[in-house]
Amino acid sequence: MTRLLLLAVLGALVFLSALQVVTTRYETRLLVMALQALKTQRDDLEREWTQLLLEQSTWSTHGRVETLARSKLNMILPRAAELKHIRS
Amino acid sequence: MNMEHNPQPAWRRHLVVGVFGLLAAVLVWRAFDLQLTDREFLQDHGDQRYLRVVQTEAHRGMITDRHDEPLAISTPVSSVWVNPSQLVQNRGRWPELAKLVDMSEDQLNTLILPRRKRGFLYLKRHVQPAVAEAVAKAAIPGVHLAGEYRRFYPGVEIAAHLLGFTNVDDRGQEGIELAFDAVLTGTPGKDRVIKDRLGRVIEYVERIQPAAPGKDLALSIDRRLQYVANRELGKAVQKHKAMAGLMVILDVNTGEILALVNQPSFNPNNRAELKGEFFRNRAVTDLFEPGSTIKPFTIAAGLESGQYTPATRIETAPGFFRVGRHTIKDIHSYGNLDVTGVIEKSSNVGSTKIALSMDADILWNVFNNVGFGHLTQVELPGETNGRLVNHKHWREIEHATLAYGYGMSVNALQLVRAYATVANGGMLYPVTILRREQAPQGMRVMSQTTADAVSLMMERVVQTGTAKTAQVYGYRVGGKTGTVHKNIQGGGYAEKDYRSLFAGYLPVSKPRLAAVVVIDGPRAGQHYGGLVAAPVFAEVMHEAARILNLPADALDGVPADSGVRMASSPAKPAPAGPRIQ
Repeated sequence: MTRLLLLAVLGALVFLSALQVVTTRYETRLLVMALQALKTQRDDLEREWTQLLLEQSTWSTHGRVETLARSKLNMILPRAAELKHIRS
Repeated sequence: MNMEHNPQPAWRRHLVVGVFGLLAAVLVWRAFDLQLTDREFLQDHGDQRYLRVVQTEAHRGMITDRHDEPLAISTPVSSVWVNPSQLVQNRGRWPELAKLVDMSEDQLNTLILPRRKRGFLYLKRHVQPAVAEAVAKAAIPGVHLAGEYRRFYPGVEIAAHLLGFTNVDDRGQEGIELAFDAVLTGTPGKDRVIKDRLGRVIEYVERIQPAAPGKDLALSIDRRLQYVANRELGKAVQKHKAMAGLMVILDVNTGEILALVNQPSFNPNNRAELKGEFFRNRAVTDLFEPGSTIKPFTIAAGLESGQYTPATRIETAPGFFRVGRHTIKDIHSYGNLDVTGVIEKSSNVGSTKIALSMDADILWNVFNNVGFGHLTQVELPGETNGRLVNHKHWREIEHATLAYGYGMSVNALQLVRAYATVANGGMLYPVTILRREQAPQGMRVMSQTTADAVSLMMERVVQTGTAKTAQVYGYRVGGKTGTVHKNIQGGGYAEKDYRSLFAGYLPVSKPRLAAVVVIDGPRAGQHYGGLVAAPVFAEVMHEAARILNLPADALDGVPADSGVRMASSPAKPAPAGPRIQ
């Protein structure tokens, strides 16, 4: 009789652990999908970052800044006579 | 049990049970058979249906200047690829596809039809984001997008020769991109995954190879100096209708290359424009005879020999001098000069007399020690050695011509390194194109006394000698010009084809920058180093000194408007309108 009971308990445990495997597997898949989504997001952000970096360094090209400073802002480089040196 | 209520004979029941039993046995046997004998084959096929290897892209490292300003960036782009075997079943949508990727239908036919058995073919690489979006939206069966990286150079042409470029597969082909390809290239990661019906990854099975993105590389270059040098060199090459030009700026105390430019340049972002001949980074690959720019080292040898001081008198009249069958000439007869005068006037006769009056090994030692004939071992592809024949093999005429820089060859880096050695008081530092995090180990190759004396003489060259055009307002500048007849292929020198040189440094009281300017084949009338190359030095250094905030060391006694050329500031009066101070 006790053996039968033991068998039943073990059987129930096996069944429970089988259920546990199923849920764990399901949860793993959810997490993997979440990870996948985050990776995609990371890649997208990185893509955006490099493009912004590229854009920024293109806009800040010295040639462009110099042209704009001269033409739009009417800036000039001071001539030697206009320079004041401060002795430290 | 009543037999009348059960008319069927017993054998029927046995038959049914038997048949079912047999069927069950067949099934069990089949199951065992599949499990045991065909297992591997079946498992394999099962896996193929849902196990996939996915690649994680690893981008190429960024190249930056010494202040982490980007010089080369990889950015993701899309490429269109097709599965020809699938696509040929959809001929109806070909016109649409052709339109999307901007190809004619004929082109599509010739591209795809011969490869109809294949499963993969790049249709168009590195398309615009808008095109990629349209392709994705059209969802033509057999047409796919692949993520790739493309290299961009935001500075465009300013450092084209130095950086080099990559090919369509993002591998380095020239310059830094080639030399450091292994560092910059990333290793894509590979994971084995299980995908579901919708193509989503639902389980990671194993990591075949971890992704390792390429490493960023910080160069010793200062983007601001690089820009100014490129601009001024470009102007000079154009003005003098020269074949080519180059300029190298070196930090004399660390051996770092702060700028390295070649003209004419090219746009590394436009692959269609890339043609072989232009890519050569002449500053490392090309050799030239240094001409008069070598004289400071002849004088240094004289001082080291103990036979000369800066004040020793030398007779250069009548302006020529015979060595065997050869005549060494000056442009004018300079008469009786002191050693400083020899270099100030750049007298060939004077330097030859100094060189011939001492043993060959003294001269050779100085040249050899400051690095002529030795690779700088800079981390750039294709550096050439230069030629300095060992003094044991010198004939008298070689001994004589070496004194003014003929009969030997150097590259621009060797020349600027030698000048940096004089500037910093006799220490030779290894030249590098990478940012140094700590001071390098230098090597003393010239006594401090000699280096300082030569340095003062070179300052005279700029103050009152052949290189007045190299003056920079507010700074003491040392330097030497050179004008060299170019070699003709097969021997001899061209009468009217020159190379104009200037090498110099500043500020003399506490040197920081050394630079070499080489203008190759000026054809607009002027060819003297002092008129063609030295002004480029002055323009660039004026701005470089301002950018780097170098303390001025010559504010006293220099009239504010003497010999000053302000970099590209127009001579017209300041324009009206807002001015920012």
